[in-house]
Amino acid sequence: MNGDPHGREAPDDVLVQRARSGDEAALNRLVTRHHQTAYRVALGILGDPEQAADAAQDGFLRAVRALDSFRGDARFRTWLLTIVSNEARGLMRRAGRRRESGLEDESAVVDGAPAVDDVVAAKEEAGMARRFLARLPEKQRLAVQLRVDEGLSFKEVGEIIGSTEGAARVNYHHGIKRLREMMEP
Amino acid sequence: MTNMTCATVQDLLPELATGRLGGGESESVESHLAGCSRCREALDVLTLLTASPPTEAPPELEARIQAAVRQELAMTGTRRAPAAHGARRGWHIPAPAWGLAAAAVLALVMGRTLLPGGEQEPELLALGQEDLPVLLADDGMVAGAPVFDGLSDDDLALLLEELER
Repeated sequence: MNGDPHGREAPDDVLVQRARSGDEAALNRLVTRHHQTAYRVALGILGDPEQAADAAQDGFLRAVRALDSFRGDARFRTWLLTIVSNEARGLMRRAGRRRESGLEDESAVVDGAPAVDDVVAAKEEAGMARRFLARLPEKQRLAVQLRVDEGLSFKEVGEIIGSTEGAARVNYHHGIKRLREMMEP
Repeated sequence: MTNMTCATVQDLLPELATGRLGGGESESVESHLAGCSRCREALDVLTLLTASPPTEAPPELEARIQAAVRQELAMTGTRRAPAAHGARRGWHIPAPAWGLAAAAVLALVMGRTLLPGGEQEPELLALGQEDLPVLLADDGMVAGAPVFDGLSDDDLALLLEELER
């Protein structure tokens, strides 16, 4: 069972305890809860959906193997995402490439066809913000993504991107500033 | 309600944009925003970002990871083989193999160090960085023992990378 008798979801630390004793259902629940974030973190580093899925899976497997060494002084999610981001960087290193962050099609995005109405225009603008986000340098991109989409603290962001809390904050603010500049008419 | 600085407000804007900010703080942030165009511009960016949902993982990924984890659990306590993740790539090198592999690499390094300078070396294949002092015979054998048998070049590169840490 992954919740309490009142139907409340068991927190991660309880699931981790159960998983340590080989409870497959607890592990499945942790996968269900965190696979989306793990995938997005890997995608933020690799930029390739297939490789991101591989890195997310490898990260989970590595975490399962290392579960006994998880001391619980960090949140399980932060610990897992740190492992996934390391897997993604390792995958990128082994593939011998850096993620392309070129702006070659930026003008095509900016000069796109005019919107039919305000709703479409708003959607296009929102989509454009996402596309610009994907073009930020890795640490800025991850800092914005982890703060906004996943609601992580700067301390957690720092752990995942391999920097201090202060550096994570700086990366986040630089990222937002650059997005603002990119979106200026 | 307290007066907040731009730095504090901008730290809290992701929570405001996603509706995660509590009442009191929310009021203070809103009050600051009313008189600060710079912070409003930052909020505009976040509002646009949150209006477009983040990328979703492929629908099959959850089940795929769960299957791999199940396979991993099935292997635990029994024999851990290199091909533990048959569903996909087989690069995983199980923990019990590390000692053997490390010993093999050490033996290889020692053997290379002890080779006389002028002696003709067998044809060797360097792995990874050019200055890496570890070489592998191209038939996949180390000192005649097939300890790396079945591992691909990628697996071996990964092993060497791990050993360097």
